[in-house]
Amino acid sequence: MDLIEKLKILGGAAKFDVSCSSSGSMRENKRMGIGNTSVSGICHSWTDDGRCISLLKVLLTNFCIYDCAYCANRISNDIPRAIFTPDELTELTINFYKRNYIEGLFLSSAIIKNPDYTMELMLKTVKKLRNEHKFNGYIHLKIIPGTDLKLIKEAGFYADRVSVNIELPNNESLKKLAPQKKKEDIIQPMSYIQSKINETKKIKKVKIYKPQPIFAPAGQSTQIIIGATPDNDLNILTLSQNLYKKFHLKRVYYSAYIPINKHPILPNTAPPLLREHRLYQADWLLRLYGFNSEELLNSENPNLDLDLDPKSAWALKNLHLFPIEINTADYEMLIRIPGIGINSAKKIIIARKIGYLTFDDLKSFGVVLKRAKYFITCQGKYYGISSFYPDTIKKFLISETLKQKYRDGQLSFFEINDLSGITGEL
Amino acid sequence: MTILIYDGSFEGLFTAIYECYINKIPFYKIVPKNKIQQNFFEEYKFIETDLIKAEKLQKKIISNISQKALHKIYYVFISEIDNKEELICSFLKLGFEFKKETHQYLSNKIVLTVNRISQKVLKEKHLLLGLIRFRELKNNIFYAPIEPKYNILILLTPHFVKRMPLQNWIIHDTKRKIAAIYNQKGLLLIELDTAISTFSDQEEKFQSLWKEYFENIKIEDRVKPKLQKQHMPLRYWKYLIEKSL
Repeated sequence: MDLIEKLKILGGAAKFDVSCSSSGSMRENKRMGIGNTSVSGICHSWTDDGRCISLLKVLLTNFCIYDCAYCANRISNDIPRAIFTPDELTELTINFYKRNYIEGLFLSSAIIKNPDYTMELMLKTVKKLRNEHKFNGYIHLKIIPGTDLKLIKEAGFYADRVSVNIELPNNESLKKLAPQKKKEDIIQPMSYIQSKINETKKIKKVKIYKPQPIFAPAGQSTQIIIGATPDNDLNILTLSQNLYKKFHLKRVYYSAYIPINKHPILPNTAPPLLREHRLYQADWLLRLYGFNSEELLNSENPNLDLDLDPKSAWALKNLHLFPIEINTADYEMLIRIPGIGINSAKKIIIARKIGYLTFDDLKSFGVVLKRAKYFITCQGKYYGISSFYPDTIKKFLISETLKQKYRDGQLSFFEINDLSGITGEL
Repeated sequence: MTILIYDGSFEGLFTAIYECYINKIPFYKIVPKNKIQQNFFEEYKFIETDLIKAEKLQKKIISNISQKALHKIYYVFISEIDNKEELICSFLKLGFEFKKETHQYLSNKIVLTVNRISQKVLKEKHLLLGLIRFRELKNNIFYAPIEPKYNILILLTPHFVKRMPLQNWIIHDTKRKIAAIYNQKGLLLIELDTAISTFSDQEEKFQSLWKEYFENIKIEDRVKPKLQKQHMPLRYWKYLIEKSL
């Protein structure tokens, strides 16, 4: 099989892996080599479905001994199979990199023979890149569940980021859908990776003359499939929160389930992409905005509102905290205002040192007030609507998003008309 | 009114501003020499570019306002917007008045405009760091043509010097007809007219591998051309490998 055929199969087989980040690492070029990494990450292109392409994302092979119900590469599927040799993969990576197509390599794999054998083949490729080609670009290595810790240790010293996929949000689903994967095989490497990251970080802090290698400088991440099991958003977000707190994961990626295989216990329809989007929004609130999953959801409301972004939904449930005075609120509170992000909050803090800010000041330096206006005052003045009730504000917030969709051409005029009765504004 | 003419370079503009500043006269109207519109009633004075004077002004900006302010002024300059000289002068006037606090005046119209333009310039620079495509030439040089909206060629070079120190490469702004040439030792900025198109034997192979890869990683049911163009505006497609105009 020629290289182009292999690339088609093994590139296509990796396309559902959602992680694409190339950020967080500061690997330098040691002058005699090729490449370095960029802390902020760089996108090199965007696919026709609008996702960023940063790394050459491929499987080493799609030959698999496992039979996971949700997976396209499972052994019982009749599909074309291929395997890269380490030389082919390094040739592709180096030549794509030299032409500035990519930031580096994202290498995952199906399981050929056994986990250790697969991981060894992956490591062979990565070592070739780092040692023979002096490649200092970004490498993301997927850890195969059930791999010996010795191999994981090696992987961490060669890669910038490593990830073990959780795949399913609880042990029960894992038993049903991926019977050959065990929960321990996923959790154990995660905690091992976390301990290694901590260990080498500590060394880094002490002043030493010879720089020591850092284990997975860009940290670890994971991926959860959404909608293949009946788990609710509260289960999923609580799991993510624990992963962030316990294992200090850099990111948890959510992937809306795509029905590829027919299976009696799998749903036949994909969950709405909107749910995936809402989970990502909630995830940002957990990681960067100081929220807890219990604040966003509880056992009575275990799923995110599809009509509203999670921050707006939270604000409406906690309307007694609002409206917030822009000129005096502290940073932690500013970022809890719907529609105000980290950048806007920082700008507000800088600009109000000069003097009291007005509504127009906020507008002038680019704070988006479409949603925020219902939740703030500027010098005591409120610019929202006359009735300060959750239901009324909710209607207005929803009508704003509908107007946006209409402008973006995602909604026809008739749909808008139908909704005018509810919102009373259009 | 006297109009000051400078040679069109950044240092030239700084020399002109320095002259105004040192002579304690309000900033004149300053225009580059290729934009002079002869007017019978106006007086013209040509300012000879003086690197020492330009550097003095730079140092003054750094110590009186900030390093950041100097960067922003440079971004405004390479944005090549009309009346950039006027905007830079007004910004400096404001800067010398409010000193280090200048950047806090976020809703001031001049600060706002300067911030907005610098942001656009930096955004294009970041985007192009990813979208530049090198092609391997016959003589083992990697060549990348670009047509940026702003004059950001120089801003792009440090990234590639660090990333590809052992590779010979050229980045060519085909719109402005200038090129940055790197030969593993140093960097040279030259005027270059025509685009190069004599590629190495293996160039086509990797181009088609990349195209195939690109085609095969899209998720068919979720194709969103509009979103794709939002991230990667059409004006950059001309020199991409995976897309063309």
